[in-house]
Amino acid sequence: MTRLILALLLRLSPARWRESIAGDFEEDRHRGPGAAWHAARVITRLWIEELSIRRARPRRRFSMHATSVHIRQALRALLMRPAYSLIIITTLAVGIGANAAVFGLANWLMFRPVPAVHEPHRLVTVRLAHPAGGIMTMSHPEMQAMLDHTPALSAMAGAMDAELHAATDTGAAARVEGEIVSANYFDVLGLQPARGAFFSAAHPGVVVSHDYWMTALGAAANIPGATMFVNGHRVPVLAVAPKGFTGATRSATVSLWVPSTLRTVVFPGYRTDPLANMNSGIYISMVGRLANGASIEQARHGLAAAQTAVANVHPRAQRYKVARYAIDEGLSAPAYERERLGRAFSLLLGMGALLLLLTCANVGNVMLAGGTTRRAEVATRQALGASRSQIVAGVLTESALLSLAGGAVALGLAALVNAFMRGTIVLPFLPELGAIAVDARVFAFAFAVSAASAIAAGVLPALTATRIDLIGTLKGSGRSVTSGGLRARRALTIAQVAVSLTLLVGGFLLARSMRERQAINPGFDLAPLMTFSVEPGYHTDDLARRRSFYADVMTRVTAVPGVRSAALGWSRPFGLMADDGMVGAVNGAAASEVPAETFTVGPRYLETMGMPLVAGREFEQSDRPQANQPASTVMLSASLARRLFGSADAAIGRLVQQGFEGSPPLQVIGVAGDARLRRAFEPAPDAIYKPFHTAPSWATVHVKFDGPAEPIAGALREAVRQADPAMPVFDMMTAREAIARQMSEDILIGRLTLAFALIATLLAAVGLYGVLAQAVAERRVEMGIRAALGAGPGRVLRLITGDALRMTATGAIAGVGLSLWLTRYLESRLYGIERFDVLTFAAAILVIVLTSLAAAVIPASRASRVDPVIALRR
Amino acid sequence: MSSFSEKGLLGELEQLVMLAVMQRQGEAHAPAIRDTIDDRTGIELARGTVYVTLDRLERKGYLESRFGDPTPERGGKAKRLFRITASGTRALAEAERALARMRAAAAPARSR
Repeated sequence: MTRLILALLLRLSPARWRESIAGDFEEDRHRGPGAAWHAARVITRLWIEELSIRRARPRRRFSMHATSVHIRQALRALLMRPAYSLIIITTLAVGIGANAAVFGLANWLMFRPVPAVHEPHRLVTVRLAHPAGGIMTMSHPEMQAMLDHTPALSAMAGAMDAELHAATDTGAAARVEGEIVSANYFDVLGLQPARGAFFSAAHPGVVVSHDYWMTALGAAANIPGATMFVNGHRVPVLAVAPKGFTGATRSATVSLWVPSTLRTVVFPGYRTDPLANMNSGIYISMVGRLANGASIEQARHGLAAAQTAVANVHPRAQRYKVARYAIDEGLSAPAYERERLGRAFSLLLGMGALLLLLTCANVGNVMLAGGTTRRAEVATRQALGASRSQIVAGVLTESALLSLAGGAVALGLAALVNAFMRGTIVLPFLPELGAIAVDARVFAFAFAVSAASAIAAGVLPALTATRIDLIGTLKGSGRSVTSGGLRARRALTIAQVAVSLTLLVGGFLLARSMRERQAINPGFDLAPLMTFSVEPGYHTDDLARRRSFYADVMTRVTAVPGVRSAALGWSRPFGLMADDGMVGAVNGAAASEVPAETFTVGPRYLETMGMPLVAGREFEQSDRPQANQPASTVMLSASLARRLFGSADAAIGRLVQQGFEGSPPLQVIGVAGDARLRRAFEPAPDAIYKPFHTAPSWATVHVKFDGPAEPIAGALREAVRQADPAMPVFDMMTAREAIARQMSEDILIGRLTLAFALIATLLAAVGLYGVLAQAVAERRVEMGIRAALGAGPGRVLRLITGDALRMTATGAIAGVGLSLWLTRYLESRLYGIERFDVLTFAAAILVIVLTSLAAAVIPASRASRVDPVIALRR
Repeated sequence: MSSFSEKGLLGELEQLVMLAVMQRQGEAHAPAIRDTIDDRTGIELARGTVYVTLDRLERKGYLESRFGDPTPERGGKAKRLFRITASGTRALAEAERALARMRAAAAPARSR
């Protein structure tokens, strides 16, 4: 080992010294341990000396002429070998393209400038951050207080995201992403309308996005002047936002902006004027514009003062004891979202870097092979007096040209990859992926990656290119058994195998984890279940009207052919919405209260969900508070029933209490099987089910159906449209899609890892093939002699495949070690599988071994067919 | 004083190395020089320092080197053997003289 390191170090030492120190190192090695360390120090010292000597010499001027000569020579060399160039460019394009695609996604979500915004560097984002990681709402008067205390901010605007019901006179109603904003919102951002004029006090109305205007409004010419329905209320459309602007945060896809002055109109539930009320939290984020010459630090100071002032006059000052104004530069997403994206992308970019390294190793490999065939050319040049540095510069120029070409192809490829990812992945936090464009930032990234890969790929070939036996090569011998280049290529190939195996292990782990997740049993039937939500609360706060709407929808839905059963509920499966609270047996000890999730569900809920009824009965229409009934009815989950009463049967008829002491008792009429209704990948929680008897603002319809989902979905939409044409259906999905949403981030990461791993394995195979082919070519004579001496084709075949397997085995061992270390970064994403899963490792190794055997087939058969007569005559 | 004007007076380190080379006549390769200095003075020079000093002295013309015969224990690699040149000897003597004069001049002051 020491010997190998010493040999390597020797290569790194200044040429002038190499010969004289070689023997000394060897002597040192015999003397005792630490030789490698000493050698490394010696070489460092020698290089310092060497560089200082060189600097003392008159410096050679950078010559434009020499560079252009290099470029011309490299171009000519590449054009003369189109196949060689194409292979390298394609390989580089894959590596750079995969990185550019991932970066493009990261850029789109995290870094790109928000379009059309004036002087974005002077903008700041202010939020009320809770130390636990969430953010809280702020009121309109609060914004005024911030401005009063913060001279560093010349203007502020508030915004709150809201899903809105949008409809036109002609088109169907749809639920769209909207924002309730202060009237000065567009002015603070410095946007210019594509059409019309933004909000004004005299003419209240809404602003639509350019996309919405083009699609839903049919690019209507009469803006201002046109009208549309927002949450069932007719409002004028004042303006069209500039093209490309879809909200102040990068991941937003807002179609509709409603001024906060119209808030009471589009949300009928509000009676008081929210703009005047210090308590009315109507903004979730604020955009501030820094005054001329003001710094974000000054703004931060001002906000701290504002916070104290607001807390003093704020009747609910309590929340300011923990929450603090947080100010960020530019238009930024909340901290928790940035962190989540950062974690996801650092993993992906890390794998991208591994892949790029592999690509470079591969290209270096091919170039080394090219270097072998080019030896004559290099030798001639050297013989004609080209210095070593000139040869190196030539090789590096070549790799730079190749990398740039690869980068250019990669950008095209990145666009393709993005197109491939469009729609295939449902990511709740992602915009429509089709919108992702290659901008200057991605371009710069691809360029930087290309440059890095040019150096990484070119350095080994450049170094070996100059280490040539001039006389021998010029004489045309080339009979050498193994060249130095081949040794370097072997090392590269082994490294490739190692990294490929690591990526394969990661990809397989994630894929198997995904299958485990898809195979979960949540405690209800996933297969025939579909849910969708409606929100009549947007249109009316008349409870009787809402109730009759829900009843009408349920009647029509139940009548849809293929629907076996339907039930109302408040939240959808895996929708994450539920109330948490304490539940205890009435007259039980206070200590016996346990936390339980609360679900509000209608009749036939258990039947529709396919959840077992363990004891008692399900809710019926009659389960609502009535004057003659002693208590409202509830169902418990089996685990909660056992916890409170010992068994499911014992719970029936008993009374429980939820919430504060003295709250009305609830009578247990049924016990349901335990189910994971919210979080698919965590154990089922204790749960209490309350009857759906009020008329909440919104509700989810659960449908158990037969046959394919598509036609049912259409029929369900139609059923709701018949009940109320202005009522959009939203969040329509099967239960399986709902689970997929919960693991969307893991799906994306899993798919990309697997894709990277397959590319990497392919590259490793190509590298292996290249090495074996070169070895066979260089050992032709040897093979010929072997054949002449009676070695059969089988023997030669074994020789070559054995060589391949030895390299693979070495790489695989290193790869297993690398995997054991690196999979720790996947651990938090794995479900139902250990990161040291033996089967996964075995599968990855098998893939690598089979791939390398496949790569060995052609060179091995070629070697076995060497004709001794022809080989020996050369 | 000609050497001084051109190349400066020999440094302490250079003197140590040259004296070691003189002692190991004909046998002075870098590890041996380092060992000699260590044996006589207890000063353990870094390997790199020895190489760099040898190189500087050779470039100044005070030392010259040749490759010896390869020996098996050195993996068949030859030793680079250093030898002092005539101008090297002169420079060394000069440095010693200069120091001696200075020391003599400083002696009364020290004893006082």
